[in-house]
Amino acid sequence: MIRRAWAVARKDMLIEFRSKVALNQVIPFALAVLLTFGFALDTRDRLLAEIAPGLFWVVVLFSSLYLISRSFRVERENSAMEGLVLYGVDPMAIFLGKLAALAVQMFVLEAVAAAGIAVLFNPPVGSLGLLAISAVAATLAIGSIGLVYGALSSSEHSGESLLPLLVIPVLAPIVISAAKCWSDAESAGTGIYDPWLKIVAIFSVVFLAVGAAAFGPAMED
Amino acid sequence: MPADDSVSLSSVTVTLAGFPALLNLTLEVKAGETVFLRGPNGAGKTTLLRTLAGLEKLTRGRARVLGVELPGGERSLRALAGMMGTRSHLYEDLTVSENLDLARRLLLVPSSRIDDAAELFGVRGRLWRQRVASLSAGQKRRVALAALVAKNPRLWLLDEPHSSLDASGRELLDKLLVEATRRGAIAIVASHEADAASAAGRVVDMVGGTTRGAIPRPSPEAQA
Repeated sequence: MIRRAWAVARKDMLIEFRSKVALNQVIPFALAVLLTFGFALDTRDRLLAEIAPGLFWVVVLFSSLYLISRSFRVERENSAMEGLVLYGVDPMAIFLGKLAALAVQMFVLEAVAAAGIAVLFNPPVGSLGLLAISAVAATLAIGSIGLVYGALSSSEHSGESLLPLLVIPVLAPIVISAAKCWSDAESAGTGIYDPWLKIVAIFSVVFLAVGAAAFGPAMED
Repeated sequence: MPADDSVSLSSVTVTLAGFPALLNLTLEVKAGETVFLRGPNGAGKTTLLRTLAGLEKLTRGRARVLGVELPGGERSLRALAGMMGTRSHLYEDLTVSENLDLARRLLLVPSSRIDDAAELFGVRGRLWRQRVASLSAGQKRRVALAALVAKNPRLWLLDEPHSSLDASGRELLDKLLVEATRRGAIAIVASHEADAASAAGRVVDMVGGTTRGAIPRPSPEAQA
């Protein structure tokens, strides 16, 4: 299963490498939102620094929805997902492969958005470890749930516009917790023993398990 | 020949969006046999092929396909059957070689098998590094057929297999089907084209979701 999951991940990364959708569309969108907020809120540095954690995760969530939609749009062309199924690939392998490819794209997106926040809003950072661990856990949670709803909505005619409506309410807790982690990371504080990190980690494990279990039925629905 | 190399459908009904696309269909196909499905649009030919590939679930009835019981064994069946529908199942952004390399990695077969199949269908040359998006419909069909041949399925399910193929492609495919059935595989072919029947050992006429000669009226439960 791992070899097939790797093949699916490699295929998704190759498609992104060829089409450059994340590079040319998603990352510029994320930076445009950050810039817009920066200009809209003027130069009140303190306010900008205070809203940076929440803004970062809202931008990551919205941009990820585009990546998730894209991930299923390429599967709809020529019924390619059906081809994967007809190769006898287990839905779990498809889920793990797509999650790995999505996570890599999200990490790049988060790195660029974080750099944009650092330049535009200049928030203090006390614990890089807490930031990094919470980002990994939140990325896996967003990716897992996003893929399940992406698979569900990809069979619907209005699927792409339906996706945000389905995903955002479910992922709101992880976005809030991850933003709180970032706020705590601004002061060195508790570091990786932060209570919000525990919540993000629990959500991540639960969403990963739910995603792995629900992806197959969602795909075949 | 082992008994479980056959296809047996008994009173199978498959309902799609409330419509009985297959209705009380019964069909027996032995190992090594080629069956040509004939019938008008909406007769249920494609749904039958998709059901035999494990892509549609039985609403009623029972089936045993290559030893796999339906309903319930759809996932196992997909690994054994090879289906060529009207869609190519290829990724437009990837090249021919990348699409076939993906097939190799997912089928867990040696590269030589993919190379041989690609060579056979003439997609190893100048098309090899071309993106699928830039290929003609016939070329895409050849790439998809190369992946299907590399899978070497025990059950060939072909929906309008000659569509978009030139004369040499059609001839090659017919020859491969004859070879596969000689080795004991089953081929079930749906087509509106008369020449496809030339390779068929048996013609099955379909209408209204079942085989001709047994056309029951839809029951209220099936239409619900």
